[in-house]
Amino acid sequence: MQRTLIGHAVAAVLAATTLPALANPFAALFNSSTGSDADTTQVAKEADSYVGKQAAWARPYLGALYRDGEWGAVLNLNRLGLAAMEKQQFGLARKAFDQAIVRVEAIYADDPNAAKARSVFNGEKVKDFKGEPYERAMMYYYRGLLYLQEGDYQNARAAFLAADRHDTLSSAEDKAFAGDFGLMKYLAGWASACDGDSVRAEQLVAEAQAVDATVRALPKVPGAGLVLLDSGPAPVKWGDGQYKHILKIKPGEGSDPAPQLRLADGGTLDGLTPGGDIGFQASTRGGREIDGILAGKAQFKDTAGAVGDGALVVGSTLLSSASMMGDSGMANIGMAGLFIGLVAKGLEKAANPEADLRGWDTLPAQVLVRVSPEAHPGTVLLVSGAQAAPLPLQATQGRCSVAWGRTRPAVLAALAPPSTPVPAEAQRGDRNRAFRAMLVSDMTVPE
Amino acid sequence: MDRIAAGMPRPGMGSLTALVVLAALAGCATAPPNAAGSATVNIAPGVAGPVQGVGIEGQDVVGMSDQMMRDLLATPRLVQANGQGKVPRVIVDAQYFANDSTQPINRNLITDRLRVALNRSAQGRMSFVGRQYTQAVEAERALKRSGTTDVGTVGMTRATLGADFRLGGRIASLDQKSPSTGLIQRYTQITFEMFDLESGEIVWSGIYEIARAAADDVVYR
Repeated sequence: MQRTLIGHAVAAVLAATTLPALANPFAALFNSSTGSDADTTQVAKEADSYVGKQAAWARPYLGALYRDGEWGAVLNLNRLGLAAMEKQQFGLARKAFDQAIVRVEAIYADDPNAAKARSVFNGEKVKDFKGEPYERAMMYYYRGLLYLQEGDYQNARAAFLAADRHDTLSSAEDKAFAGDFGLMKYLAGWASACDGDSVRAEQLVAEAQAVDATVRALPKVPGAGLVLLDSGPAPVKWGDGQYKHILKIKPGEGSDPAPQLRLADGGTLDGLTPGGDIGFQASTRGGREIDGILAGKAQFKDTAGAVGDGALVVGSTLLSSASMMGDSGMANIGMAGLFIGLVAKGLEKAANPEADLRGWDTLPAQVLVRVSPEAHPGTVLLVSGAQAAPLPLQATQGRCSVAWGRTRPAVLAALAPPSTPVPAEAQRGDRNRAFRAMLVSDMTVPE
Repeated sequence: MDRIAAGMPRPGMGSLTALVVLAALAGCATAPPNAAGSATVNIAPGVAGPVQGVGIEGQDVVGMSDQMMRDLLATPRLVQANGQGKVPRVIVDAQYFANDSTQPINRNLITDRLRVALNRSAQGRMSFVGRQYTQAVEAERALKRSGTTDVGTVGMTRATLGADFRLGGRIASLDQKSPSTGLIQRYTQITFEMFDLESGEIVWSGIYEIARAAADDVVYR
């Protein structure tokens, strides 16, 4: 009997000292969100080979696309598309946004990775990224600009209306603010006017100005010249709560000085006014249905921790008492308590209520707009101090001209890496292979 | 002393109960309505692909162009030769086929397929004018007439073909959603019309409708 008690005591000490180490593999039993190391290494090699043949500016974007696969495809395609617009690689930008739109519009029903994101033991970010309503709307905004550039005013209108639809239809959007991204409907109206459909243009402009005071300063009858200027830093997602399980979005830090425009021949272009507030659109998204699930996960984690702590205390107390009293029955109960505590702590460790904080970090804080009665008579320049540079997208199609630019670069030297291991390969094998094959054949940016 | 026999509670039983409660909580954390989403519902006939949304899909392009082709070929005014034995000349392209929906789409996908299907099935009952090739035709005619090239094997004409009828139409859509279930629904209406290029009379109309409803997984709503 004495030997049994000594055995219990040793087991108790072992359990107490190895608990953290045991909890990790226990948690891994539940967390199956990452691919194997061999997969990751192989993909990294292929990614290096792929990006080595591309232009330097595009390497961070294409590398992230290849490595992250379908898990981060929409986010990385959006980043690439916007950077490509700034680099005047408009064909690449169109491909990137079209690929992103296909994924955003696909219905994710019975998707295994979405199901994982709902489970207690995986964070939300194991799901494929589709973006929040403001990100989806901006994806369509940029695609709409590219249609304007081609003079395809009907598809431009469709793209801007789709942007408005994502602000309206997402159940995530706070009802009081649903459909208040008036800039998108205004741009749809502008495209209609350029397409020669003045009735539709008038209707869309009226609808835009009815729901959004920001665009009421713009002309009721859209003129032929349009300048759009992205300004300021992107909204930032952050995780509130003990486990970062509540998605919050705040304005990015800093602001840009009021931009000045002029024509290449020296003429001035004043009258830039705020047309769309991306930070406002992001911060009025309202609660999401997934928030309830994440809160449940957080509650589970708390409860598991409390149960584990209690069971460990009870178990170790009983074991101590049992060894003093020589009571083997009490020792067995103590061991059971320790075991339960171990299991509960493992569950606590495995539970992951963290919200998906991935966000489109090259978006602007706001879009400034200038609408003029006539098409632009020349190249539009953005003045910065003593220097002036042409806006990257400028086109005249039919009687209308559009110019677009940014006050801060969308081309970054490096992208912020994901904060934890990327779950790119898990249950995405075939899709990732097809996606990477598409990248290699279609998404190339020669030096 | 046996604790159970003495009516004393076992300390470990409380923890076991708590563990069961934990398991139940884990289940409760994933139970909003329609959490897994609903697969796309196809209302119009056709073969759906593995990637589906609620807008116009590839099978719709096939379905609508086939349906319109059959309908057009069954319209006597468009396929019967006149008194001089000349068949109607038509232009089928996207020039007057408008997209007024919320889905950007390449309209040529629809009109090109319709034109090709019509041309292959008409068996000479209609004549198709390729207005989109006007620039190439004019350039070649100029070369022939300037003597840069010979006249080819079929001879020259005084002018290129004028057309009798042209395709017009519109794509329009209506979006709706159910906040309680996350279901989104889109009704898409595609109208096709053939109008007389001399009088403006609409001599034939066809319509193709799609209504689809689907819900994303709750993690995307």
